[in-house]
Amino acid sequence: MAEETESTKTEPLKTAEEEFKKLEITEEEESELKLETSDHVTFMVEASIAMKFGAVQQYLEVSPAASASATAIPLHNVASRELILILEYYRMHDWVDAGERDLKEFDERFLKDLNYEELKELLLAANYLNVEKLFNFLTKSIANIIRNKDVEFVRTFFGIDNDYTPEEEAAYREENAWAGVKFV
Amino acid sequence: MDGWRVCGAVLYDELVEKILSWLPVKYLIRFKCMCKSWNSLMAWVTLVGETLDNMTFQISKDQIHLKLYVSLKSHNDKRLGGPIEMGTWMHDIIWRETNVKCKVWESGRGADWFLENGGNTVFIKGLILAKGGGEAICGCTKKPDEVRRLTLLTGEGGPKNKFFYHLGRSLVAMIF
Repeated sequence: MAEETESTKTEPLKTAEEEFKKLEITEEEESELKLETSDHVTFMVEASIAMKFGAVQQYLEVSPAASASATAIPLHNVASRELILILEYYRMHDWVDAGERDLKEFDERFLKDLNYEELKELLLAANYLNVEKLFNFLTKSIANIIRNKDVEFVRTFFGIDNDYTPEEEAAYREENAWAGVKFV
Repeated sequence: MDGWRVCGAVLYDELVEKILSWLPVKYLIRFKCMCKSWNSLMAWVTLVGETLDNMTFQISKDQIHLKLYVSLKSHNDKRLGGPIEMGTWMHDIIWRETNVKCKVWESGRGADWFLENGGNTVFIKGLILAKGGGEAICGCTKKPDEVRRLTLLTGEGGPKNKFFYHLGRSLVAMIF
């Protein structure tokens, strides 16, 4: 994918001609912002997409100079792995030609490729970046995952220690059994 | 404890709340026995029966956004803004018209409410919606020995009362 080429740091240009060509291209293209992840990988990201990130907006409000200069905007709590996924998601959802069905298929595939651990880490990154659409998508997806699972599964999923005594837990289940709630 | 440790990644309370807010109430009841902090996170989810399958809540620290699902007769009422398709979220209608936000009252504050409709009684417990000074209801129970006398507080007129009407109506429709 395109993200990977962008993730590599700017290569030194070999000739002046090449440099000139590159300049020409960037003039035609929309402006880009430089983002630096927690593992010190620099990404050039289209401004239209980067500006969807609440964290980037906030950073630019504080230091507006960063949008024009070559300074990278640091994303302290986002690793490159997550940023690649987030960009993939936003590029797809930003793509004008993407139909509803394409997006649905994309979302399904996107989710399928993540294991639970990655899903949680991505959620944390999305929360830090303050990207609403992806955040809602992820929380909803996790809710769907745990929806029909038993209590034990959800405990493991969230890494929760059960701090009820067996008696307390049994009493709780008893108390709420009338509501037709199955605890499994 | 600030959050739940997940092999190095911590999901904060806030994130867990957001995840849970997508789930219908009956799942929340089940997950209340997950651990004590989840129980207190969901202290407001009190007694709800199967009738509330079609209700979901958006939770935040001091607000709950209520969604009611119009599943029965009430879907063709002009006062609800014209014919409503089966499956429309009551939420959309309520919010479009009145922009009411809900406020959580802590349990044990005497926050038990009811609504009467032609001899039928819907029992409502635990949660109060508020806009300005007014209050309304959400959450209910059919459990006989949880029966309380009903009281519905209405504020000083305005869209608030309309909201009560809608909310009450849809609760009644769901249960009877």
